[in-house]
Amino acid sequence: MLPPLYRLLSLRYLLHRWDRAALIVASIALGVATLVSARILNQCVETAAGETTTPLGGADLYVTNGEAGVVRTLAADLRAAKVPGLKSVQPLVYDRVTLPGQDDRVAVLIGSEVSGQLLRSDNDWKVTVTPSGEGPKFQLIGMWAAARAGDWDDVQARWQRMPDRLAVVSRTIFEERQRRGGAGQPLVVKHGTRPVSCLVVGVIDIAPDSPLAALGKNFIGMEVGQAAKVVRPSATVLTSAVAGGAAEPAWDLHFPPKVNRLDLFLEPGADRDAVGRRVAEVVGSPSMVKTPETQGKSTQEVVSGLQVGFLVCSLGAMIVGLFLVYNAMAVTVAERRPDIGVLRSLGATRGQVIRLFGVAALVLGVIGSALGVPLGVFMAEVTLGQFRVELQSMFLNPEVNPARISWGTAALAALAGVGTAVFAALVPAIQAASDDPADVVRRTTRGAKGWWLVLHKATCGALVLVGLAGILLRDSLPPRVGSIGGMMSVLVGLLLAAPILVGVLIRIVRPLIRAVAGIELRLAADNLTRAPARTGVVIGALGAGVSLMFQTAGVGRSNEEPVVEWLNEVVQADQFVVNGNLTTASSSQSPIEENVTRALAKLPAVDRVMGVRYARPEFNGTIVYLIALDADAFARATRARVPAGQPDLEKFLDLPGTDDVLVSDNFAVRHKVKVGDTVSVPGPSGPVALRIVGTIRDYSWSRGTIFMDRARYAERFGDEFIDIAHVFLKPGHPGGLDAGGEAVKAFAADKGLFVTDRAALRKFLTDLINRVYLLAYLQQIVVGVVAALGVVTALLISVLQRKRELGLLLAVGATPGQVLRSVMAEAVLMGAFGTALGVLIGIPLEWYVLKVVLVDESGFVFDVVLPWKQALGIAAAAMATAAVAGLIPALHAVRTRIPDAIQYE
Amino acid sequence: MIELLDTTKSYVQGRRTVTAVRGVSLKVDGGEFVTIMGPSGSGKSTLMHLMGALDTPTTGRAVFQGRDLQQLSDRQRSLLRRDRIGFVFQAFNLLPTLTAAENVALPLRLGGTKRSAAMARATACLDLVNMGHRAGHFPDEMSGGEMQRIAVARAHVAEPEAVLCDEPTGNLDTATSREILTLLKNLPEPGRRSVVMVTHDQSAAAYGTRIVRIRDGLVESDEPV
Repeated sequence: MLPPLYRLLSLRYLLHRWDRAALIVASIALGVATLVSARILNQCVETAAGETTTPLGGADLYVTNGEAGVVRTLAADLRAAKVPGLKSVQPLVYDRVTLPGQDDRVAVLIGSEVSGQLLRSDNDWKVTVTPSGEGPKFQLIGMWAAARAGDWDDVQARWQRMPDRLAVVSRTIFEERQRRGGAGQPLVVKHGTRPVSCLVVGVIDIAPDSPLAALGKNFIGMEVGQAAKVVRPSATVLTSAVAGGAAEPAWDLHFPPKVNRLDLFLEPGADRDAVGRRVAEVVGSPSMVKTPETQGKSTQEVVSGLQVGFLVCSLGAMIVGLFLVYNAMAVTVAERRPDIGVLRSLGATRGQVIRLFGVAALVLGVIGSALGVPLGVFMAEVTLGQFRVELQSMFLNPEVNPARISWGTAALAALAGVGTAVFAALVPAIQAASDDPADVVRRTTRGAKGWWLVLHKATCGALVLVGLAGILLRDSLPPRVGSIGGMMSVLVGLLLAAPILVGVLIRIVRPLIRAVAGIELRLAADNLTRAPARTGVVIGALGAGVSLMFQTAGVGRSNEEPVVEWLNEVVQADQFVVNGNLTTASSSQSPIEENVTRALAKLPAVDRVMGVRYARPEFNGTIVYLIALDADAFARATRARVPAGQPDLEKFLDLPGTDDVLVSDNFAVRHKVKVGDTVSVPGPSGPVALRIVGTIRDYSWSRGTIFMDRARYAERFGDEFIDIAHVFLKPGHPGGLDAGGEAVKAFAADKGLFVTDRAALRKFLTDLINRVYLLAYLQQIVVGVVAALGVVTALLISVLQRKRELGLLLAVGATPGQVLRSVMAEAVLMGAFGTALGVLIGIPLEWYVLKVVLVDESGFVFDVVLPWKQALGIAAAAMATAAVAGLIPALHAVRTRIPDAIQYE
Repeated sequence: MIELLDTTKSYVQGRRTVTAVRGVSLKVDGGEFVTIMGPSGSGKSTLMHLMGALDTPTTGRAVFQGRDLQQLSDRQRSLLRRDRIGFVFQAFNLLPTLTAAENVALPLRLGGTKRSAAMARATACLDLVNMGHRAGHFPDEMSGGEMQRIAVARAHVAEPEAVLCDEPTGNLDTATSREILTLLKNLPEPGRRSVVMVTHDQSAAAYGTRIVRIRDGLVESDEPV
């Protein structure tokens, strides 16, 4: 509860000046909203990445080998080793599958040891399995009885003896299956292009605090051995033909059953490091023992760039909001100088005056935060809606839920909103309280005193210098602290220095305005000169919005040409066959059996087929792309279509049959490697050494890309899947390309695959890039809106401060139109100065982002292209925003009663 | 009660230093109604600010009931104004967001008096100036004379030892001015409360017991009415 005195003085004033209070609240709300949305998006990405890297986390240690997986028999080896402190070992399989019977709904297949994880009533996953009443009832009776009796070894043995694959499914899948009349029928799950039938013997209910909770709607559980066989490639036709009935054991030899990881649970009080060392000795190379902290480190490195981007945008909005709230509060203080004088003459202490404004700011901060939190949730929903399909394809769990806001986020946002408001109010309040009472009563105070001005300049200088030092020393600082933190510090310093910069700018252009402009514009310019502190902050905020948009447009323009050119060069095939949709094509989440490429190649209309497999191994503390492609087919087919250009294309011809690889230019820059070096990535039998024989231009992945021949990849990594098949049609085929395309479509339809053509793929990729920039623009538009609110505030204050002058103008015969134009001219001038400042800052900012931040983050090197065409649009938008924002104060000015105005002090 | 001893006051205005008061010595005793007169810019308002602890002298001393105002901290001077000095200004200086009663009660509320007690006292003071019926009205609903009556009630509410008025009738018509001056005339209490009024209206000055004339920051004359 607020003390009654402050309630009386502060709240009453806020209600009296509700329009200004509303502007401050809106500024705070938008700042808080961007912070909240950034936090939610970050949490969303982090959770999804965490669920992908370590789904069903909760173990004390993990034995993993990246995407290559670990041999399941290691679990038995570890149990046999009886490592002191190790309580249990649980092998785990997980992968995406689709359900053809439910419109290809995506589900997550989890394979675990049934006895240990699923059927126990006290299982670690906090799930309850209820018999579905389906399946081989007679055979299941014994198993359920053993489960009730707690004889888990018997349960396990009986389960594994079942002739069919048994599955337990989430209630959502079960009920949907019943609704579609599938009860009692086998459930078909599809991994890649291979359908697998299983019998639904149980329905799983998952507690809200279960580690499985996020997968709740899309869960399919199987016994680990059966699940491992679902997600590995099936025996080839050739193997089956040669081996006959022995095909399965023969395939087991070729692809020994693997699991994604082993989860290790320790005895209470066990020394985790000691257990980890002993486990490492038992499992040996190539498996690695990881703690929960190290398990997601590489993924975190990848998503942290995105998270920093969100954070920087939200901080930008908060900082701009801070300056505008400061401005509004400063003006409020200025307007209340007479009140302060009254209060001081009546005996109010300085502390009481400061608290008076502090309380007002507190109230506005609380209201702004309360509005900003739900607005932020909405903004996160909208933003995520733009990328939901991509995110769903990137991560293991198709449920990407943005609406989760934690208490921590809400509290942080509220604290930021209230803190911003109170902090912004304190400086003008302290300034006001430090005025001599006699000056306040006489109304002769003249703004900030000398030491405030020195402090202001010193703070600006310090922020810029600290930022520059951070940038120069960025290699010695933690990642992004120097490059992005330094940039933010310089920008805040420049924003803070906006009143000084605006003062200089106005002094430069004022003679010109005086010489050529009409009286309205001249009065407006004079007014800006008189109050650079008031208008400077708003112009600075506008400048910040313009500079960020200019920079984004510039980076987009600089990327656009080379990236589109590159896309057009590498996307040369006529048709592209994928499993699922285009977004899943590069995610390795929806693989296709390799034999599809051979079958496609046999079609009469098809010239060549290039299969591509995307892997994401860990390298150098991050996750890189490993693109395995049919190098010979790629080089020859592409060269046939692009006779000139792509000087590096022939390098692919040297790859087949070797462990030689090409790396992208950004891989070489980011990881500081060169031709002749060898890089090692995790393979199924230990690190696979790959020799770099060339570098090529490629923009697939910000952490760098390795290219190797697919046949060699399949051999080295035991992975014969592909993710996409590039189909080159014969140009001379009877019936033309259309007929050839129809043949491919018919083939794909038969296999349940998706086909698209070159134009559609290029459009899809271009749209994807554009949406990334749209997201960046959206965040900056928020900054622009906050700045526009600042323009409204500043002009309202200007009108207030010029009330007497405007009244005088009206009294001596100025028409309302002239007064309106004068106020509007001030708004447009503010917009023009903001735009000029924004472009002046935006040009070096674009250079910095392209040549420093982007190179540090991704290794991509682009030439700086200045976006002059977009700059004109941004300038027009900024000026229009300022003009529209000036309309309300201008109307306010012309409605002033002349007698009131000329008496106004 | 209030004493200025060889007091000067200078302040910076633009690039020049203005000396508004030049070595003035003046004493006001309890029960007096002193009028300070002089042309614009003569330093009369500055003199009143020095007496009322709104400002401190550049040289010399300002003493209120034996306490050297220069020796007091800003907070102590604030408390002195709150509890022992009342002000009435030409522009009324009521807070526009507070009702008449709330404006009058403000000094008491600033001093921590409970709302009910402060409002009861404010109502009594409003009755004294015949404004009880306007207690719930806001300043923008009142005439100038009514607002100044409220200001007088506010100056009186804390039972101060001095009431300092800066051109209290400057914005009022003759009839209303007379009413306000009559109210002010009734405020002094022998040995306890004095009133100091700055004006350049000769007829207003006649309500006082003593007239001090100021010119160019110096006391030109100091005579009983």
